[in-house]
Parts: sequence; C-alpha cells; structure tokens
Amino acid sequence: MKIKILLVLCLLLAVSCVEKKLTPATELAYEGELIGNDDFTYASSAKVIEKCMAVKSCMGLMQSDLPLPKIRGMRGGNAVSCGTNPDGTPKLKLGCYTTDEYITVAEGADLEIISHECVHHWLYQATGDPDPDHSSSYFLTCSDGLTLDEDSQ
Amino acid sequence: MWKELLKIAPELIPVIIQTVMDVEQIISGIKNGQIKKSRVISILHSILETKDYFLGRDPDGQNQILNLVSMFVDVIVSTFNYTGLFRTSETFDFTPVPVNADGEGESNED
Repeated sequence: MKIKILLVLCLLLAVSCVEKKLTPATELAYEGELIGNDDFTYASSAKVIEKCMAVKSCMGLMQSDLPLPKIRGMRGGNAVSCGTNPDGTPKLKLGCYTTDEYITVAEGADLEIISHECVHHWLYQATGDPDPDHSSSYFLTCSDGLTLDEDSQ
Repeated sequence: MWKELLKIAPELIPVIIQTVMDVEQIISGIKNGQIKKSRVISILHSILETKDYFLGRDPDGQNQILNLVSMFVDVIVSTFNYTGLFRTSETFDFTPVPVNADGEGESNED
C-alpha cells in the first residue's frame, strides 16, 4: 500500500516537472482594441475586459483615467513569439506585453493570462515601467499568482 | 523525521489532496492564490494537531512538517494546473463577432 502511494507521489512529481512544449502561433486572428474594432469584436472580448478591469481595480487605479491595452490574438500554436533569444531563435511565451501597449496571446490559451499581462500594462500606464522582471507584488496579489518569465519587453 | 513522515503519508496524502480540492472549489477568482494557499495550510495545521502528529514536537519540528506539507501542496497544485484539473475552461477565442448597430457584440459565450 505504502509503495503504491509513493509511486503515485513520484508520478505526480514527474508530471508537474514536465515542461509543456511551446509551439509558435503565427497566424494573426485579431488585432486591435481590447473592446473590439469598429465593425466587429471577438468572442472573448467581454471576459477579457472584465478581467483586465478587475486587475485595474485590484491595483487601486480605478479612479485613474488610463487607456485599456490593445490585443493581438494569434492562431496556429500554443505560444507567441516575444522577441528573440541570444541565439537568434524566437523567444516563445504564453503571452507578452510590449510598450506599444499591445498584449499578444495565442488563441486557446488560458484566459487568466490576460490578468498577468494587464498588470504589466497598468504598471506601464501608471509608472512608465512595465516591470519585465516581475518585481511588483501586484503580480502575486492581482493576477492569481500566475507568473510568466520575461514576458514583457 | 522522514521515517515518521513516510509512516503517516498514506493517511496524510489523501487528506492534503482533498483539502486542496475543497478549498479550490470554495475560493476562486482573482487575487485569491495566496489566500487559498494559506487556507489550505491552516486547515492542514489543524488536522495535524487534531491527529496528534505534532505531539511532543517543538515549534521548529512542527514548522519542518508544515514546510514539507507546503511543498507537497505546491506539487499537487502544479500537477492539477498542468493536467487541467483546475482550469476554468475559459480560453481566448478570437472568432470574429459582428457589432450590432447599438454597439453591442453578439457574443457566442454563455
């Protein structure tokens, strides 16, 4: 019995340590305002805005008149390219925020990613620094603890 | 210490998993990651006390057990996140939705 439990424990540990393979999403699905463009919007827009505004409120910026970020949705993979690695290969991440105020994410990715990227955006709007190193405590307190390495540039 | 932990593991592991799942169901949403973790640890602390696992241990010994439990909770949560057990099933959908004349999008979501 004990051996079985230890085996399950080892399996759990192994599964949790396996890194998911990231494949680049290269097809542009949507680009523009978070709320939608003139003639059309996108299916997740309401929930995306709700989450981003919840982050703004959590960061105590609700009274500040700051613009929403823009969003770029990509298809064809589970990750997006955020700059390049030192060896020249694309740096693949679940999402990234750039100081042109765009959040780039892959279609089909967990919607919770938007909270993390919105922390970058509201920090950039409020302080001029998107905090790519994630030193702000808002990443823990306002994005449900989700951390994505070096996803802001 | 490790021998003792292995002895209690068969009883303790299902309790930890059950507690993590219960707390996950009760507390959800933004800003709650830390709250969930501290709630799980606090419940497990009470269970460990009730079952006399802490009997005869000094505070350092108790903290050592709680640290190991805390690490195990992290492993469980990472695994559940990875396997999709904790996923909200909410994902980005960039399917175009025409905007009505009144400016409202025809969302195809519930």
